[in-house]
Amino acid sequence: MDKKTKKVLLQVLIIFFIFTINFFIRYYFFSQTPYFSDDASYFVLRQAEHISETGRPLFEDPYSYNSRNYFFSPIYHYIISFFLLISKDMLLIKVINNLLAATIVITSYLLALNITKNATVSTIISLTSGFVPVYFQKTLNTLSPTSIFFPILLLLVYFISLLKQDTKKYVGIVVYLLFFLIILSPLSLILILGLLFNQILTKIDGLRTNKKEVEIFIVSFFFYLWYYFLIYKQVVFETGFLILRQNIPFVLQQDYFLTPTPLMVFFLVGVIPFIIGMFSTYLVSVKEKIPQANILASTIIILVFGSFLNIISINALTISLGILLGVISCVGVKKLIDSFVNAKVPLLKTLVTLTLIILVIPSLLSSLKIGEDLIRDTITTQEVETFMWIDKELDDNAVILSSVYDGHLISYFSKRPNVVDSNFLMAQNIDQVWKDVRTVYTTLFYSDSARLAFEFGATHILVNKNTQKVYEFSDLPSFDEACYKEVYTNKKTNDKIYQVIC
Amino acid sequence: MIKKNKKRKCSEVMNDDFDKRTYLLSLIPLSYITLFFLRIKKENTPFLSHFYNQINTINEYANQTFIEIIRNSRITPFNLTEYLLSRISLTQQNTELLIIFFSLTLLMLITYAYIEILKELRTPNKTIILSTIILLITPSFISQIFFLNSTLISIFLAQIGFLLFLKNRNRNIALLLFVFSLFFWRPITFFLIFFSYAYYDKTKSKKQKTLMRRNLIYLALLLIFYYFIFIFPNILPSSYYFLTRKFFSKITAVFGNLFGYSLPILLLSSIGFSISWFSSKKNFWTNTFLLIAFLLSTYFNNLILPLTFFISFFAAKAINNIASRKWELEALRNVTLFIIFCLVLLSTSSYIKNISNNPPSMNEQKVLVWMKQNNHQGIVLSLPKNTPLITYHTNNPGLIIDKEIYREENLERYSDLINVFFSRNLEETTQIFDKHNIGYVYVTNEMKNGEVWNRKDQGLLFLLKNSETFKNIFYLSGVELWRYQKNETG
Repeated sequence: MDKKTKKVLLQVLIIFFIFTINFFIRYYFFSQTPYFSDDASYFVLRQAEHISETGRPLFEDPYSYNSRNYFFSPIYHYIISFFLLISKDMLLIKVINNLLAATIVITSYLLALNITKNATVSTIISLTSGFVPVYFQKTLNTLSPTSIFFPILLLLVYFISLLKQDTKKYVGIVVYLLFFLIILSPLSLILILGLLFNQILTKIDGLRTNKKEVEIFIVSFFFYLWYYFLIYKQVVFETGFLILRQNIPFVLQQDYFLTPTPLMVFFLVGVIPFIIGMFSTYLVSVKEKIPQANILASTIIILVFGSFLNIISINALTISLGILLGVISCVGVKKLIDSFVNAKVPLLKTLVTLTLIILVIPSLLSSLKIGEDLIRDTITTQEVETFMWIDKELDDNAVILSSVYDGHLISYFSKRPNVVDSNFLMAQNIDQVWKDVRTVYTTLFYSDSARLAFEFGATHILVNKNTQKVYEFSDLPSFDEACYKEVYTNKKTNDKIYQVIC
Repeated sequence: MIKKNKKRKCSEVMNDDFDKRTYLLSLIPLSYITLFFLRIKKENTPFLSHFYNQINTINEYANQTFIEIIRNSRITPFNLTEYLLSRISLTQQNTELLIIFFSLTLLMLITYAYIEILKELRTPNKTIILSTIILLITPSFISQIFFLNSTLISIFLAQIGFLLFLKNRNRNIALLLFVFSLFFWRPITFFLIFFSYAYYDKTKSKKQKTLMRRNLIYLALLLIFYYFIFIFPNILPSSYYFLTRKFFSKITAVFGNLFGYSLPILLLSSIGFSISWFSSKKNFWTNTFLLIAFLLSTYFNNLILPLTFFISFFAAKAINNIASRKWELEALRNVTLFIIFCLVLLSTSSYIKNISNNPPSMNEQKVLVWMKQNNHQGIVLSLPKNTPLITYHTNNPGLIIDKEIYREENLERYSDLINVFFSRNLEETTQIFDKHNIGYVYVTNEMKNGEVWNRKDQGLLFLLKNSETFKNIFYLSGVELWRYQKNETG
């Protein structure tokens, strides 16, 4: 075995080690609970279960908003349903989901290596990428396309940068990955716009545009348009440009489309990605021309523009920024190491590398803290008992009024229609619904709450941890024996279910 | 004779690759007739609600003399198309057939003239075919089959005039056609002036330049005259109309609105336009004019139709460019073209689906026919857009008609309509009913499913069901007719 092969093998082993560490830390957290941490995961799970039973997604849902139509791209749900066919065990689904999410370690390494040609820098980058706090949080114990989306996005950028070396060999992979990324999530638009913006910057600089990238942009743009037109045409027809706001209630829009402050991004993204990433973006877009990193820099700039226009949700924005800044920071890290190496001080390179690794530690600790909090806040078996009681004891025609964060849980565990859930797109008159649900939980007059419950067609009202937290009360304020009957009390959690009888 | 032959030869040389079979495309509008059958199959009336608007005006004009119509035009603007139709048609059925016949013929002739103009402008045959096909599948063009649009007549006359100019034939007739086109749709003047100037700018012959200059002056004078007479007095009362509307409300017409732009075609066209803008400075003024006209079309819906012709051309240019550019990743070229084809096809098919499912439905019509047969007479309360259908089938007036909502004298009426739809207060509701002498309430499925109400017991729906003041006199598959029983003792 020659020296070069040994070096490569060592690198492979190191990356595999980081990947394993990342996965086992994840495993330590997600194995502590049999449940997922957010209600949206149960929407995915319901869809995946429906696909595994019928082969088709559940586009017409009799439970959500007491019957409605969904509009979404079901690719991720198909992937999960495939594993559901193998086993119905939730632990397996969590393992698969986290294995996929942890591959970000490998793809970020490959891309960073391609940009910097420096194995040490790439290793540091792969370590930070795996523990970007916001990415760790959103992929640890939740089912969401984000888990696959970002590893594939980085892999795609890696292969696009390889096109220069061997077009014939990589064009097929690029096209397939591109199409897969597009159908996986509408967020892929950031990369498409990044490709366009990169060419505009090149043109402004008076340089020759990369024809291959232009062609990839053209095909991806039209494919994106066709695919999402196919899925969202009815939504687009009825809501027009408001589709960008996803029909999120006005009250919640400030939380969803918040323009982030630098401090907020600092904490969500991590130290190295934020400071060095920003510096690297500046370097790549203004000073140094590194074709492989140009696409990343342009995508970051597009994301920042999007955040100012308030058209990218804060979640999507911070995850994307975290990952992209994390990877592009390889340019800055390399520059930093190189400048110290050029200073010709002995052992300085090792010292700088060690310092950088130490700088990664806060991000890692932050991720661990986030993991701990996430598992602590996850729904418990006792809380699930309330939902299961609804399934066992209530009439099939029962409609449950709950907070927006319990809607999918009612559909999944209780198998009953809800009045409101967090899937807002195409929900009719959402602001009024939000306001009326709030009135039911906050008014002191039973005539008002019962009238609204009747208008919603709700037969039962759920009072639990979420409703108490959202509407800030301990029990239904308008409770009156003439109008409501307490049909269930969970003694462990103090959850209650009231039947509307007037 | 020799001179004429020379001219012909000259025009034939202009476009060497032109294939005469391209003219066959102008027969495609015949296929639009299937839309009527599709609508009937989906249990809707064969016509869209715009048709009933037009036919009511024709019927109104038929009973008046020209002087009376002009005198009333202060309230309802005079429309030459409806006036001419009212003079030609003898019966109601005869009018319906006339409208279909004229609109179909006009669409075919316009397509033919469009091909001819592009040919005269030395456009490559591929681009002519593509842009004509795109034009023929554009929503704003397809929708013209359902009524005889004045804008379309105006465009046709201007097209013929422009063609005569291009062919150097009968320039006086061309000028006359331009003038006639103004009688049907005044904003065409802007297009005429601009394109006359563009043509003037490119003309080299001194004689032609003099002639063009004269034409330009005539057109400019006509424009000033018309706008001084018709627009200036209306500026003040109509200004609030633009202020109150949402800025992007017309842009949403892009998203599949029955008379709006098609989104994929618009996007393709923007690519074609960018290519034209950056590749040559020759058409700078024409492009600038079109860009301004497009931006204006977000406010002035009427501009969408004439702009469709240019949008189709630019979209074809974009497709041509994508197909003919040298691709480094050759495999992607066919994939891209295939995706574009799918995209445009999807857009058109979803548009056809929308147009087939669009109200009014047969049941809505049946309820109104029943109302007339049973001699129920009085003002009918419903959505303003249902008023033409109600008037057409029952001869009863509606509380307010959609095209007159924004008139100052109708503001109170409109606000009462909104109040009555959402009020659950019986006293307030009956007061409004008495004030406007409303006799009936006509409720359709669309009104109950989001167009007015979102819940089954919201506002007036609650009162209709729970008060003895209203009596349900007819119900058919969700379409309801209620009679208001006035409390005479009170």
